[in-house]
Amino acid sequence: MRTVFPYQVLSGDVTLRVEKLSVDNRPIRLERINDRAQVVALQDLEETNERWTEVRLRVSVSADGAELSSGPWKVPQCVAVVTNRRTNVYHAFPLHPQDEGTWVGDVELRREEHVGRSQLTASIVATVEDVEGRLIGASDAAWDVDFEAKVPAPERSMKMRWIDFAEHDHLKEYRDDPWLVDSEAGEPVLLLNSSVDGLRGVLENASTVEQKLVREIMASQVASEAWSAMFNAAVYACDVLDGEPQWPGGWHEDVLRKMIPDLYPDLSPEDALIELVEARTEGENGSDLQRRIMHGSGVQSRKPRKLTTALRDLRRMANKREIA
Amino acid sequence: MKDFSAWLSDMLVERGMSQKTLAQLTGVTGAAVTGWVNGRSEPRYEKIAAIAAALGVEVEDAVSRRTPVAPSGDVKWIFRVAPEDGGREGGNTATFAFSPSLEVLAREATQNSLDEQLPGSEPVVARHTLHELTGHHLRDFMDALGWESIEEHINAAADVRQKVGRVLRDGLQELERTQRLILLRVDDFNATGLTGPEFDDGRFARVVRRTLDSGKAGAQGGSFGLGKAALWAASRFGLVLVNSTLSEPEGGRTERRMAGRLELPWHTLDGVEYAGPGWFGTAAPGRQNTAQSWWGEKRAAESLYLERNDSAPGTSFLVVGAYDGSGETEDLEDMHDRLVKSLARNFWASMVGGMQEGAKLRASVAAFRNGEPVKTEEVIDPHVHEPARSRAVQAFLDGDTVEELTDRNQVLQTTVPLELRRRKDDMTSEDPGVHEAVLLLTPSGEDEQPDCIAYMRATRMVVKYKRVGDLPLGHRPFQAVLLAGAATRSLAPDAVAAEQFLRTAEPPDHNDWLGTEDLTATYERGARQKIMDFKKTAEQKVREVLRGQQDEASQDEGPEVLRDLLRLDPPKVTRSQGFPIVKAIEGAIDDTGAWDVTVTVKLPKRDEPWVLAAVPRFLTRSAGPLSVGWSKLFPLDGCALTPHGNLAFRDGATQGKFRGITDASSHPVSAAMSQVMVDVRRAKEELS
Repeated sequence: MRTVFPYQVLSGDVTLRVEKLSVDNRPIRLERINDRAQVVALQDLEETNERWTEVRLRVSVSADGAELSSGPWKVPQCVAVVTNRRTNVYHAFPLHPQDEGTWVGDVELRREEHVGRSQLTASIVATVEDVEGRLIGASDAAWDVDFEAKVPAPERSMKMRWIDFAEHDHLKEYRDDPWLVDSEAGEPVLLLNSSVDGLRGVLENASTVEQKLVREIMASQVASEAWSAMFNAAVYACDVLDGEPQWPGGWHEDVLRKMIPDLYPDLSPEDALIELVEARTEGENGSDLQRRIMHGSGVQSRKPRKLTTALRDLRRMANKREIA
Repeated sequence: MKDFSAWLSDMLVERGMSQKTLAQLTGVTGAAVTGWVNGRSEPRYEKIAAIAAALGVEVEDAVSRRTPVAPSGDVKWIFRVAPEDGGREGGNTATFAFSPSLEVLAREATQNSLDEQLPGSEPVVARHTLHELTGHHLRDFMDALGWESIEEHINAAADVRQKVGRVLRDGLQELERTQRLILLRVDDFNATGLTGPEFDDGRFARVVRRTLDSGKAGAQGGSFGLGKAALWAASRFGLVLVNSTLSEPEGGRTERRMAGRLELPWHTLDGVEYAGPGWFGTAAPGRQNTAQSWWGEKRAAESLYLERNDSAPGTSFLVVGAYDGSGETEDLEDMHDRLVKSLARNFWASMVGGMQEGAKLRASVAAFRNGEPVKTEEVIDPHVHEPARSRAVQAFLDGDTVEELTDRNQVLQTTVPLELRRRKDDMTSEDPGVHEAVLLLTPSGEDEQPDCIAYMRATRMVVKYKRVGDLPLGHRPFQAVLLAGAATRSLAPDAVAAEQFLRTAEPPDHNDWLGTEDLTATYERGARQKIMDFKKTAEQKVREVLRGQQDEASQDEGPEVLRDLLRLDPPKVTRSQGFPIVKAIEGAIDDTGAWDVTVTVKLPKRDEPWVLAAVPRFLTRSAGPLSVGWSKLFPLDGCALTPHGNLAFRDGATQGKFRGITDASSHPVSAAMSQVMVDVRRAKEELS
């Protein structure tokens, strides 16, 4: 985002790094930290028990020390900020200055204050023109502290769960459905019905050509429906403030930002959001929006390519049979 | 100590003095002198002084029966006459084994110094000093060197039809043109020095007299004797002078054993055919036309830039006309930096010391121009040049490694097996078993070259850097070190055997472990395969360590085929945008407390003009940005104002610029407390 400050700010990069990790004072393997993707994965730690209470991250922040000391800023300080959207936690941790332009310190996350994923950023504040505590620099991208990932991978996928729909009261009426998207609990989960005979086998262990063909088509179908469901939920999550639609944040925003370029290729995301929310509230009959969503979901689930490939394979199989 | 009789008879030969003359000069009978020479009697002290005076040596030389110091006037160049059979040599073959860059020189010379470390002593100190000489400094040095008597030989040998000849011709022309000469002094301290007799086997003879003979054994690095050839190869004239302080006295002396050797191809001069090489020294008594090393005076050593500033044993080599054979640099400062780089890259591990074992090497580089420092002596700090790798070796030497990494500065230690083979000359012995080499791994910073293993053995010189392939995606960058043989600090037979096994597997350049001819000739079948397996296992071990728990973790997260289609992370590549964006914004708050900003907009190409509504917005922490209003809007470049206060950009323009001043009454907070951005939206306005 390109913005202007009413005072001078740092032009150099501010780098935030998670140096090490401990849970209830026990050091955790570095494999849980991914520097490049800026992710810390905290699910199912071998080193500690299920009922851990506190995660401590040693973080370091570095800025251009020469720029910092030559600028108009006084008493520069650095804080690491942890936020969690679900619990609405916002904690700032002052860091200790080391050399010129570097800070180090511990960030403590208490278990009851964090759900899902928390974001970690760093801000450098200073006294500028006699005003204290002004923001003069911040880390570029936030680190994700993911309590629901075992591997700190840059990729994140929608959550999926195999369950027997018939055994759950709230799913009983859908017991014959092969899959459903449930976003009741705040985050969308793709429920796959394990009581549908062969579904799991085909999706996870397809071995024959025919099975693989069905798997690809079915996966594309499931994904396409999931994207549509998530997008619809996300559109409804947008608030309107003073007549201006607001980005909803969280996974809703992720889904919108991911799909909008395909839905409205010639609009900026901001313009597209206005368009979307208008379509939702005024939305003549909604057919334009539904058509766009269908297209966007198809792109995400690679429907066109999967289908062409499947049809081609089908033809080949038929030819083979004829020859035989 | 030598017998007095032996000393006296040597001195008489050396001085060409008869017993009779000595008897006259010392005032004794001829029979008395004969008695001293035969060892039947020894002179009393007063007579010893008289003998010393008669021979023109110091009394101390006679008392300690040591070789006297040779006056500079006795030192001269002597060239080997061509053999009668008319055979010709085109220069020292060993020098052709190298591309004589400074990097190679530093590696080879330092490796030699490490091999000659005095057992149980301090780390070897390797100092490299560059001297650039011009004017009278150059003339004084050339005089001391006896340049006049060698220049004609070099000239005669500079036959441009041969490779060596071209290098020589080039060197002479360069000297003529620039009137500038570079000397490279390579010193080692706490090493053995060039011990041993003048002509028989010994370190001195191997370095100064012979070409391809190292006489090295055991854990030493150089087993091909090529290292010293790198020194000669680094000189434009093939000219190297030597001054050594010996760890064991020779001829009763240890300090300032000096010699020089000029490596030329066959040439004729004034009708005489010369085999090529020439030696700088005193005439060897009893041998025709042969020079021997001399014990020099301090002043003579100084004038030849050979005086050692420390009494610790070791050797100083002076490469006269030093140059970088790669042709990449002539510059003194550059040469200095190249030496530093090469020493750091090859010997960082030798320079690291820890609590359980000290450093093996301390290396430094300095540069002077006519005696004035250009670059003061820089002692190379391995932790500066190779921080991650040095940390790994230090942790090992401190006994401070871990089994699992939980901190970026930690060093993980594990083992890599090397299956040993029996030597062919010792097939009756038991199976030598398996050597457990040490593998160290530590997270690396922003290194130029991450994910490498450095191989090394006893001296901890880097044999090779190998990039590890096939690593798990998104792994943490690392540096690994493989310590084998004596470098494991083990004294067990398997470590000793592994040291020899790997040394045999090194080619002449000592830059890999391979199935060398020497290896297959020395060891029983399968040796080559074991070496290959060893390197492969090391890489595999690295992969295992990095994979850790990653493999099992990706289970039960849903079918893979779906995971791939349901990725929530934002796309990595931002596609080329089909809508206008703000490219740059700058501005300040004016006197009225309003924002005065200038905005540059980037537009995608399209046929009809873009009509955009520019909206200034204040950023907030807790919610989205809040829109404010303009009081004035000025189109600056590529755009115009529409009746509705929007901006219409020119047809086909890809960029436009405007200036806006906000309406201070619309500000939710004072501008001084705000952070402002400008949105450009598609205007709901049709241009007629």
